[in-house]
Amino acid sequence: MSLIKVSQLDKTEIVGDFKHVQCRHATWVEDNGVIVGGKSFSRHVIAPNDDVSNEPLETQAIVAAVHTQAVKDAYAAHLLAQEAEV
Amino acid sequence: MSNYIKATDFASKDALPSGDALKTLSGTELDDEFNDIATASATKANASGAVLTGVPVAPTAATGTDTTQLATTAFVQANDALQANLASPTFTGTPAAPTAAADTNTTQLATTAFVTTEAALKADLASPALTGTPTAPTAAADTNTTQLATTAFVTTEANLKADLAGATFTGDITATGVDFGGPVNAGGVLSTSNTLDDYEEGTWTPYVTGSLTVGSPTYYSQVGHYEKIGRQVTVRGYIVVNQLNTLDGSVRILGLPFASNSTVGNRSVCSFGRCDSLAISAGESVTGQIVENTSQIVVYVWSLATGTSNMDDAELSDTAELQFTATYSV
Repeated sequence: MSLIKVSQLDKTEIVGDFKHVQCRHATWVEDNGVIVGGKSFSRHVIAPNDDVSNEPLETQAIVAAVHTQAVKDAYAAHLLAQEAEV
Repeated sequence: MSNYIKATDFASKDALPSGDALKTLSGTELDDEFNDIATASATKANASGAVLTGVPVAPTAATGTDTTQLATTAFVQANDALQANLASPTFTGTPAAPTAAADTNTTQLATTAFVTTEAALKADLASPALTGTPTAPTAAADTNTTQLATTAFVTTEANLKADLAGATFTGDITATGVDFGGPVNAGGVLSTSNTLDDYEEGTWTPYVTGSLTVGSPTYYSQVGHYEKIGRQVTVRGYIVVNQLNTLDGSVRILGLPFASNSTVGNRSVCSFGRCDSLAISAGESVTGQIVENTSQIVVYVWSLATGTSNMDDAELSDTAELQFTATYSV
């Protein structure tokens, strides 16, 4: 028996008007290549203007492609309008 | 060829008077007659074993004559016209031939009787009624054509399917969702409002930021869990700050597992069940909401006297503790 723990970014989604990038990491245990039990997930969302320096390069590339300056400006204005409501 | 014609009238000599010189039969007369006979005989064919020369002719027998009469070329041609050629013959009428034994597979002519017997052993091309145990080549797995499916093909395919009762699935299982019925739209497709097509649970890492300066807070604890059921996401979070480290402005909780939906006004509330080490006044409480098209919880401070205001970083001190839950749609 050879058990190993595997964790990897298994899903990247771009959603919404402001191109939020949803990242899902899956973690599972393999016994000689066969998944034992189920996968567990951990998620986070990258919004426009978020720091992505700690993200994988492929995620950084996606963010760079979809979070254009226009998107960043629009999202900042959206948050500002929200803060100004109160 | 010449015919013999008698030149001397021997009988007329008998009537001549004696002493007439012509009454005497001369040797010359005899030689001439016999020479003519020899000449004529030499130019005739023998009755037996005749060797004819030139272009012999004979009367043409009637078509179909079957005797010892000589056959002329005209007779032969007339009879040939009634015969079929050996090569590519064209028969007329109703030709007949011996019927071969069943299952004969040679160059022998097949009669209608032979064909009928053989055909009776075959199935019709249209709507055949097969008997016995018919066999056919087994199609490759996943073939989806009009090719006949053998029992081997069906068994192979069936082994890739789950039983209706007591099914044991393997590998990753995907589904299009559970349809709970409801109204049908104009296109005849069930409304997605009645379809539960997603479930997921996992963890997330909540963290706080400021609207002016994100800062780099440190934490004693950052714990988050979520369940996504269809479009509904429920998050629970627990944060214990160590140091805020330059965080400045209105307080936000980030790190949500999903961005909120895009529908304007479709907002959700965040409930804080336990807050500690906050620099807020007595009678004030902490509230929050998730606005559409965002991935953050906006934290408010509410008081009866002043109503709702954004929580300022000054109200979120070091060692602050926030325990909360929110349900929102995506």
